Amino acid sequence: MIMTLFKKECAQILKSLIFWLYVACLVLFFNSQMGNSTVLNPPQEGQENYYNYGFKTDITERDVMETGVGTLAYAYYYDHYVTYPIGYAKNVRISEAEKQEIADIIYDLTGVKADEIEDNIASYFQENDIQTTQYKVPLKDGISYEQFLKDMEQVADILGPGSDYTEDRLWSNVMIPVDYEGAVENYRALTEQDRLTGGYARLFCDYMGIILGILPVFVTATRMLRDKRAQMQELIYSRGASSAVVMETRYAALVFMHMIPVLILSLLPTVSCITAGIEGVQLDYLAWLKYDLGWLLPMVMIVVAVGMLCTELTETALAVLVQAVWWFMSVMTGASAMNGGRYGWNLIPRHNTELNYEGFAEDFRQLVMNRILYAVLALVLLALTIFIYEKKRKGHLRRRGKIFGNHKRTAEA
Amino acid sequence: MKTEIVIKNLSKSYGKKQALRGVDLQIEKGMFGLLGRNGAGKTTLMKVLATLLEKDSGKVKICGIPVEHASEIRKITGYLPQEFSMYPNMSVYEAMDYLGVLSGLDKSARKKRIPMLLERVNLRENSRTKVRALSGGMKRRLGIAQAILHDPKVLIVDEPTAGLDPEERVRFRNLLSEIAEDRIVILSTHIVGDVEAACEEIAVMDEGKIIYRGTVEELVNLVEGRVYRAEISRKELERLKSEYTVTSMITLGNNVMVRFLSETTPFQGAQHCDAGVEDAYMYLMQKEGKTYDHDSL
Amino acid sequence: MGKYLEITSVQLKHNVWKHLLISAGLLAASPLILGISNLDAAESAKVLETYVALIGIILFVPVFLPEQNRDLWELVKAKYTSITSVYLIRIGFSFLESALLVLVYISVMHSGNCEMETGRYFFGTMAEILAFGGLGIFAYAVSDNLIVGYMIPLGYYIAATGAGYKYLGKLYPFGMLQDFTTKYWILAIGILLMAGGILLFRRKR
Repeated sequence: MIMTLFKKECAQILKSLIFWLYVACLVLFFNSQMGNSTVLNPPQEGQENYYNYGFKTDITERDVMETGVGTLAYAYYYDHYVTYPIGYAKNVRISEAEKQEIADIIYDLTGVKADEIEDNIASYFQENDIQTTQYKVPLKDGISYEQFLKDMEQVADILGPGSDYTEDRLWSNVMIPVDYEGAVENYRALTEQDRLTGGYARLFCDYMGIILGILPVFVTATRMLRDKRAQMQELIYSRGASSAVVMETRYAALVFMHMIPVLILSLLPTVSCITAGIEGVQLDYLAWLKYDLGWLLPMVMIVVAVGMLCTELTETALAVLVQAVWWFMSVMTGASAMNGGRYGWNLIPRHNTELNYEGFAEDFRQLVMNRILYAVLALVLLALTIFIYEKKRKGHLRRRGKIFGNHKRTAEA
Repeated sequence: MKTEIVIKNLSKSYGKKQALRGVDLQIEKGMFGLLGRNGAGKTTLMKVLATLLEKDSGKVKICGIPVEHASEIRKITGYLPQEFSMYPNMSVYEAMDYLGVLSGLDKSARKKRIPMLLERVNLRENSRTKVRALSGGMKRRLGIAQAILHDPKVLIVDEPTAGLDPEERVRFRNLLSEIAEDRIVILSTHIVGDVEAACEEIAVMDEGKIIYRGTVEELVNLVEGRVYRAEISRKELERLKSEYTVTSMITLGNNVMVRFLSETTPFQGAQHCDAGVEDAYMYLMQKEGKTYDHDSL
Repeated sequence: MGKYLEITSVQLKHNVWKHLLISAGLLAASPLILGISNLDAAESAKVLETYVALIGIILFVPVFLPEQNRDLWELVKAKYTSITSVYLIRIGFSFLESALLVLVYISVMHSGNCEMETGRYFFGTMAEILAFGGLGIFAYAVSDNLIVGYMIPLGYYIAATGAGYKYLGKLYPFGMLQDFTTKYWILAIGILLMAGGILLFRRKR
């Protein structure tokens, strides 16, 4: 019975307009983001630049300190302090006393006085390309990394949450383009550790995650509202099937149907990797499956679960609002960790490059915990939905047999 | 297991409004009519039987199974709500098939029963028609077919004739009578004619209580010998209404032909006539209304 | 005239408050996540275009919701001489509400020392709100599904974020500084879609 019901649910989804809108959105989005991308070729010595090969991964404490204090001096000179509490720039205004505090910190660390910064910036960018290099200021001899961190912490306190001066952000803000050797090394990580397809499967997940963090809620809400709209609720309520079976098959069908087009699309980058024919690479032919199931499936699971719960509870479009807000926050907070390796607990983990295997490997444990959390949470929400469905089925949470009674209101208007 | 429904002291309220007040009822095989005005508590009672509402107190057993065991009850009951429809883009057959799966029927059972039932409700030709294209009467018939899909021992039908034209209504009653041959069919209605034509056993509900339980015949007997008919002028109507229970009237120019109830011969020109269900029903309602007035004093 | 006043008062009592409250809540919560003081012209535009304008989706799209139920729709259609006027009154309300919210928001930004050409920014934001609203109303009417009505403008928003002016050209919703003529375009298209949506929804049923 469960299998038959599952198939029937899938067929219903397949016949709905909104599902095909979902597929169209996926295809369009994929096409706009990854449609024209080609597989990276091995770096050649003497190439004009190596921008495509990522950033140096072996950053030193010295790099961090010089870039960090450079950023601070730059902000001080222009009196323009920006924080990103959730991705939107927030201009922070600080008092004269706090400005003085920052000037003192810069002087303590570098020996550069406030009125010398202008000249310093000017001469730095005479020697370095302003487009590709970050402003750096060398530190005084004998300044330890610990002391630097302590000073930066003070700055972070002044500016508030989302500033560039927490240890985490100081490290991730250092972006030193690689030279030939670095490019070779990064490329080797891509071909050997990621076996090429892994890097592209991950990039696929990064892009598709952005829209999979919201789109499934639309199909789900429509499906869940359908019983009410078709006035079919009581016919289903009065049947023998248990609430768990009704809701679980519906959930499974929604998750399954959402994943099918994703799985198919994810084959395309894999095919690109195969046809690129790069020598000496042992491709991982199943990387797409591993990444789809590990990275994207938990996301689809939780979004569908949120959609089911909110819709079953309120029988309104509330789920869309809830998921849109969550999605918005996730995308915005994720923007500061685009390069990967800092997944945290974000619903939509970012890794916007086929490279940076190292970052991925380092934060892998966190990513796994993150994904498990959402998968488990999804099942908890599903259990809650079953509970609510069962209650409604026995006439609870409804007023005179009608859910929370929007009826009178709508009739009057 | 005996096919019967036993209800003892059943009560249910929505917040402050008490919809059922200590209902006692026993229903056996055959067609059972539940009569009462809108808001009398019929739908509530039926929903409790179909496990779509939980009772507050009292005992309800269907074929020996307490109504609290919802999943078992659902296997032996079929329910047709007052207002319903199905997914509009499904065909008649698909909708039946979907609901059949939810009732736990396996593939061979569905293949056998669905065409048979569609035949029975005269929808065989329409098995590929989309639900959205069905007329009101066809939808009702499909509703009946889905409710007996799993061959339940009890069929609960809430106001099934509302919105049907007279011809369809007759056909629909006949269909229900056929179905009632080997099971309980409970039919609620506020239309006296439905009960008169189709049901042997009935109950009349008012304000959440059963005010009559028995056969249609016995109901009529309540007022037998007390029904009179008279042609009076319009002016006299108000006076007559204040003295007697008027069960129906027809306007004839400046005069009115009234049917009314009276214990004794009322006045000259009043003719004695045979009692009907309508008269008895009006009598009950009137009586109840009076007792309630009395209670509230 | 009395009839329209009646529609208006029922409208106020029953339909408006929920969506208005959500919109106002989202705007009121914004200082928690984004700065609305001391912004330069570009940052002010970004806040208005990528955050504030989203209320257009919330306030305009549910225009047909009260008559979603078919029976009810027929009832209403029979009751009022012109269902179109009911929709127009609702849309008028949504417009007033969003204009009011945007005005309040802009004045808060103004007092927070944000750099902007007030009139221009107000117009630009409202144009975008009407574009989102129009797109949603049209999608709702075509699909007869509120959820699709929300999905399409949100999809447009995401597409605009991802693809940018380069791909969307005159239909780019965030063109306040880049190309102000986009605002006239999206405003015109938004209004057309709104009108088209209403006509379609009327005739469809």
